[in-house]
Amino acid sequence: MTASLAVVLIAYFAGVITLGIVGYRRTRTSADFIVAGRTLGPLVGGATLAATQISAGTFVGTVGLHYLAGVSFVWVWPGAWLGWFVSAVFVAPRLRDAGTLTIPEYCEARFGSRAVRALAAVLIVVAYTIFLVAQYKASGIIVSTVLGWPAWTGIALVLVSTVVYSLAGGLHGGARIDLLQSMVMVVGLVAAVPYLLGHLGGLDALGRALAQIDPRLLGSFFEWRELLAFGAAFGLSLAATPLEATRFMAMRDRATARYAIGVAYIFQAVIGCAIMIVGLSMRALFPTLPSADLASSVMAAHVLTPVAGALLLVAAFSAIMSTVNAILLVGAASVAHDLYGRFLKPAATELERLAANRIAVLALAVLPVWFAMREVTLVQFIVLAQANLIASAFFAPIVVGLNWRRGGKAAALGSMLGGTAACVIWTLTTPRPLGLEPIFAGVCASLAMFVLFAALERPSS
Amino acid sequence: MQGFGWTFYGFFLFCIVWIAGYFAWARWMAAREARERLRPERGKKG
Repeated sequence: MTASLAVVLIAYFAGVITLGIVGYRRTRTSADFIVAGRTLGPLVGGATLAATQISAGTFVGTVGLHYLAGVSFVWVWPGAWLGWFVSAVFVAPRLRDAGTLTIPEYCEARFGSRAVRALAAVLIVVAYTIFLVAQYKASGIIVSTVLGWPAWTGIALVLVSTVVYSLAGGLHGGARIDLLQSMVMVVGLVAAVPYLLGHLGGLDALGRALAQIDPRLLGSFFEWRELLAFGAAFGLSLAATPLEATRFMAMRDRATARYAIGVAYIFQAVIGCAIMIVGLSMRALFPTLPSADLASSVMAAHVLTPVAGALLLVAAFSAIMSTVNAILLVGAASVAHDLYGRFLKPAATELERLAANRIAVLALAVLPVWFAMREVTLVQFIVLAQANLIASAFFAPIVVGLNWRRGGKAAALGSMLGGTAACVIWTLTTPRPLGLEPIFAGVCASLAMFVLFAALERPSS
Repeated sequence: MQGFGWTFYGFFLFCIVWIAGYFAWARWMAAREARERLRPERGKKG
């Protein structure tokens, strides 16, 4: 495995470095750094949307859930895609035409308030720092399980490689590397499928093996209500997350933004189907793993051929790196463009803003390492917590704010603070009040506050 | 013994229908926007 891994890693990083250099040469201004000069086409745009959403949680958590619960979990994807469809209709085209570089900047332009911009920037930095902890932790887990190396080596690998290309090329480099990484994910996962099915004796044999373990694995392990709740949670956060929304601002035009979502569907459909078969096959091969989250790592280490295992490992790192890159660029833009460039030094030159973006990337990348090295909660829990927080804070100001003329400063501040507070209260309280998941409580509170304050505010001209 | 059912094969079908439908809609929207962009220019000529 080690020799194959070395070859695959060298080829992969050669591609990453080359695309990073291309990005560096194209990055002259902070607009180039943050939104790639608004030049992304449908293929690169779609790949960057897909790669940003597919993270450590997909490779570790989703494979694990298919291992545990069988086929039915695949029906969570339509919920996420519905979120993107909401985005395609109500968010992406309007954000593309808003002319702003970041979500906090859009908030100031839409709601006419610097306080809303500052609050949005702070919420983004806090939520995405939490998200980074999950990505670092997952990279440590994968490296220690598959290769037997200490967890910090995985964290260091992701940190150094991603920071270098994020610093150098901004979104110009990051988006093109996302295309490479999406392709690596597709190849790594799709290559594993025929090997696993061949190992088991085909699809029918897999079905028979699963039926013997637990017939629910082939049908409805989860009820439709549970699937609806999972899917709605993903969809709500996808429709409004600044991580994806910023990508729409980088597209060539509004039609491109819509086509890019279609391309992202294709990448995710292939990856989703492959991940389902991988999880099911691992259950048939190893019915009693100590933890479902180990399924993908055990497969890479013990089931696949060395080359296929190495490909899968690099695919998992691609998923992590693409998400880390997106977090760093969006978080850094909030610090440099929205806090430094708007409040600390509004007269900053283009070069100073670009330098501030790069310094912020470095600072935001290093900050969560301390938390990732500690014994904190499960990776999937951290991913879910930040997704809940982001959806609760931003769903109303982005989705409603873009499509309803009513609502100003008070509506935006009330919905962001109310949604965040409800999400935190519901997360920390057991049993959940009213039996609601934190994301639904947060989004409902955020919507209610927005409508309430909008009704109380004087309509703007 | 039992094999895979609609929850498994249905998802593949769903993906194909969803993606094809989505691209048809995106194309229609792009064509509509292009027509809207042309409309004022025609007005100027007239």
